[in-house]
Amino acid sequence: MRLLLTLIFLLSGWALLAQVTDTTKQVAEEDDYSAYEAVSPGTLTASQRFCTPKVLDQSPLKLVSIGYEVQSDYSLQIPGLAGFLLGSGTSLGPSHGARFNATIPVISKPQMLLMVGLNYQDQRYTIGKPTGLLGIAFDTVRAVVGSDSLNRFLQQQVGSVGIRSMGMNGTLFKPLDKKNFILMQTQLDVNGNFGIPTAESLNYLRFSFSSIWGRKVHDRLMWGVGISRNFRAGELGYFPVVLFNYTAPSRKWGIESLLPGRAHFRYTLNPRNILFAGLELEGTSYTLLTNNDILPRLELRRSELRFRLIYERCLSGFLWASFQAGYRYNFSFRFDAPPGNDDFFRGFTSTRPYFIDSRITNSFYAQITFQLVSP
Amino acid sequence: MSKLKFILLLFLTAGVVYATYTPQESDRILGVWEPGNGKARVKIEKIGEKYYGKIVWLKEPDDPKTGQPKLDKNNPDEALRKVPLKGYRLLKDFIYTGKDTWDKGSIYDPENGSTYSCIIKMQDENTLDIRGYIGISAIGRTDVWKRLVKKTP
Repeated sequence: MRLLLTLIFLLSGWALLAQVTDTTKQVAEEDDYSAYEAVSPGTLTASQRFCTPKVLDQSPLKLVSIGYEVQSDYSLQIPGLAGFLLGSGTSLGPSHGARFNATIPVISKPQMLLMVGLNYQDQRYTIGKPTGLLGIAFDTVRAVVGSDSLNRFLQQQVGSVGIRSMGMNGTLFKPLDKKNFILMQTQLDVNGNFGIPTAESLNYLRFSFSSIWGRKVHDRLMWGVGISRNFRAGELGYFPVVLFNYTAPSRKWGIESLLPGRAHFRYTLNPRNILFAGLELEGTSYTLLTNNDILPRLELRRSELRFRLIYERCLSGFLWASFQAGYRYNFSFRFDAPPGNDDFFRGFTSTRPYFIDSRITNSFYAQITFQLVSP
Repeated sequence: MSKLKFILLLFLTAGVVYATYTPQESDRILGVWEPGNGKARVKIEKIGEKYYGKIVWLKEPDDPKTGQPKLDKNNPDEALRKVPLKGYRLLKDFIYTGKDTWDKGSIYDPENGSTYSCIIKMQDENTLDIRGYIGISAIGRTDVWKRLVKKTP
């Protein structure tokens, strides 16, 4: 009897399990799938769905990118007394440099996207000869009497090892619901004429931050407004920022912009071949360390507006290549002497003069980059 | 007699354990699921020992340009670009590896024609974490899918 009861008990348990299995069995092929609804609880209602960080056909997120850039010849000019003392101008270039970026999504869920990244960029200069008859004459005299020259100054500051920017960054995309989102970006950089082993360079960390509130109107349009603290203009600045990403109903063209940093018109040949035309404001402040005891610590305030064409092409699977060419319009290439280790906000009202208010002429540039893109 | 009882009990217990942890546990993934964007419904089914998922419903079934059913026009294989998206098998070759996880499969993204490695974890009976990734699972993106059942009249 006991055996019989045990059997009944065990078999009834098995039957119960079999019933549970039945709830997940395949649905008949001819089912009307529009007549299905989410199982509650734990169902996402329309208001609980979260917007994604991209519009349709937006260029893919680059997880790793390695690139190289060359710039055509250009010259540097120094007006005023500094120009008279050092030499009014000299030729520079062609300059060139490598670029590396890596971004890892630490959290990538519908409720939150958190990415951290590393970036490295360097620029090597070729210091040329003085320009103009007067410059050549002054340079000859300075060489004879053994005084400093613009060429020697530039060689000391940027010519010998170039300038580079190294840092880490973080991006947080936090959808609040199906329509609204918050986008935050932060970056810590050390920039200057030194390499990774120079520990003292950590004294000159540059901190950038952006915060944007936005709306994703539909799958093809998202916009946002916010504020940013950055060095894109060559020195510390606070800017209003506007995010605008759009894809036309035809899905052939669109706009990807985060003003005033960049804005591009996008033309999609197909999902594996994309063309861009637009501009980017690129720049930062570089700490210049030299053995020259006479000079104060200098910052190179470098910023340029790049009008460019970009062709992005999928080479294979997740490997993409980007070919970029354009015209580099000089916005700032000035030498500044900040009062201490900390940077300062010059703003629009400061009368503090630059140490050398130099200018560089514009030039063409080209860049090739290989990228590993994200799902 | 007691020996017979013991053998019977052992057999039944083994049967219950097998029934509980082998086919039923892995088959919990079967059914109709909706991705996070709500644009499609995917039916996950079992073929042999592996699990596959195909699109059975599209929120916008027709291509606005042609008025015809949407095709897999972004497929890198030109021969497949005229295959209708509805019915397309976008989850492939998943094997149940225990601990509510289906692994070693791939997921196809019709938006860009890319195929990613994929791992599926069941949060609960009605929720799946679908993670597409490149190379290692850390480099990827997770979407949450919800189980759908037929509306009761």
